[in-house]
Amino acid sequence: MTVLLLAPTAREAAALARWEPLVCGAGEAASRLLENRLATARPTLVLLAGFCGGLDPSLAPGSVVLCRRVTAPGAEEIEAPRAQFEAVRKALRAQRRPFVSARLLTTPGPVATRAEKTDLWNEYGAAGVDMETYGVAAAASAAGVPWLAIRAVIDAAGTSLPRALRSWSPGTTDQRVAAAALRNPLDWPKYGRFALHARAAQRALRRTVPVVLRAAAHAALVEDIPLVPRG
Amino acid sequence: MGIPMSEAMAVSRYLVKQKLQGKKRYPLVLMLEPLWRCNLACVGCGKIQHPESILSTYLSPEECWAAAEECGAPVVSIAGGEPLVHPQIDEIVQGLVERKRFVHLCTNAILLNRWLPKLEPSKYFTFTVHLDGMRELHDEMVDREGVFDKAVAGIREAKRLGFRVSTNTTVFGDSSPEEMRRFFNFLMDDLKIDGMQISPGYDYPLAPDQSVFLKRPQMIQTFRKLLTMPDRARWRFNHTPMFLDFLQGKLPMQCTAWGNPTRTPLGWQRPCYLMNEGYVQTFRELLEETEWDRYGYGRDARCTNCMAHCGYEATAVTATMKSPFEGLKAGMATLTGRKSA
Ligand code: SF4
Ligand code: SF4
Repeated sequence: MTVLLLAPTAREAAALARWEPLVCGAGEAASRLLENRLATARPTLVLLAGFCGGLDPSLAPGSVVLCRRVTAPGAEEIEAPRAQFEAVRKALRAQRRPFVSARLLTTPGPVATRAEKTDLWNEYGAAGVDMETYGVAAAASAAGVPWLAIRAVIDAAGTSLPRALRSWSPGTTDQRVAAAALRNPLDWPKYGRFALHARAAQRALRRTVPVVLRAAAHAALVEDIPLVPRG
Repeated sequence: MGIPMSEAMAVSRYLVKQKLQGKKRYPLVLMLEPLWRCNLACVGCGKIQHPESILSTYLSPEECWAAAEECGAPVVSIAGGEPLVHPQIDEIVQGLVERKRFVHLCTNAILLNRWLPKLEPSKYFTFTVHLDGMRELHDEMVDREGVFDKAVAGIREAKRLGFRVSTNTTVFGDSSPEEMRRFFNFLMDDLKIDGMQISPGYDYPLAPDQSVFLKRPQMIQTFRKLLTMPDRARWRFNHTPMFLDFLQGKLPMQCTAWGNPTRTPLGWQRPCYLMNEGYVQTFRELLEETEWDRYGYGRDARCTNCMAHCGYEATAVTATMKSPFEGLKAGMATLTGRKSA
């Protein structure tokens, strides 16, 4: 069995370094990269692992969401493949890992404020929001490859992102964020909290992903899980 | 006032105790269904579809008291079916009151006059009468003429005898905010009831007519219109301000169904009052062995349209306790019974 493990950004990949994830890029870049990969390689599972914004108000930073289905504004919902989803859900439960299996929402840009999150929660009932899951699910489904997504909440539902991160886009560098943050000392506690939450989310991914990989391998009755080689 | 001060204080004390004991999940309101038989067949009711053998099964008073003790919630809401059809409902109520539970008896009030002489007014006891609108709408919803007049007469008599009476109104797709406004004014000004509960209709998987139920964004719109009307200041609700904000889509909340566990003639119902995924025989099993994270908005398709107080009021109460400002707002609302912000 081969699992193609994807992480949108280097920060998310860092949490999963042991399993050598492929950094697929944020937003649309992820699905473009996956389409290209699937033209030449055929993994038995695409697993997308990363952070998400929390929409479900019961989820604190570091809470894990196993994607049951994914939706996007104006698009038709895509359901995670039943067999793989159930195998992973059962394994996480058996290992007593805290998680929820729920809907995710994919939007073109970051969802920054508390009010926006509340509106999206009311409209979609998605536990978390990200910028890649829908595109990755659509690309994998189109290629007939099963997919799963696991996300760790970084900013909880009741909170707004620090100002410099609100206009974050895939091209935004860490230096630009740091420079913008330095200009607003009043926001510094928010950045401190955000950094702590990012660590909680990284830790959650690091603990959860191996269970997911093992369960996915089990589901296919295969012992080891070589990843699709890079390049 | 909406919720009596003694009840609000008892619930607050109970919550503080649970927090100090470090409990993650605990019940707030026991939903006690001593029977499922009813003397009505309301449109959209999911409780009366059981086979005759089950409709004939009633919980005894001892079983009801044991459920209250086993669960420990400070408030007991007796529902059903129609509780006043139970031949020992007076004993059930009396036993619960003796155990210092705040009892809300939810009834369609058809048999109210029969029971009033056998029940005693108490700060622990409230009749909650199911009324969905003025005469025409209510009689249509319960599918029988004359029920509204009977319920109104029963409420007047209960009030005259000194009972606390509140109402429970389900907001349906065909209840216009304007109609509701007139209805709420009638309840407050004419019947002088002690408090109102509002509930969005839930599409029971077992209900015969699914078309009457609002969908979530529509519900939010309806509640926004209703709760921003100028007359709102006159209405006393038995809800926390946070729950009312949730109904208007201003506050995100997730269901905490363990806050309102349901004891039925067949056992403790999983996972909630509205949805049935089987029964367990002890409260402990219900609390500890139910996969709670599987349920709630966005997690289970059957929860998509549910904003019912049996799923969300406990969430609102817990959130209120966490925020000093919300606690103050809720305290004001309890004192005045009216909108405090
Ligand atoms: S009164 Fe209540 S239990 Fe009886 S039919 Fe109506 S909704 Fe159902
Ligand atoms: S949201 Fe909660 S109360 Fe409503 S149906 Fe689902 S589990 Fe039950």
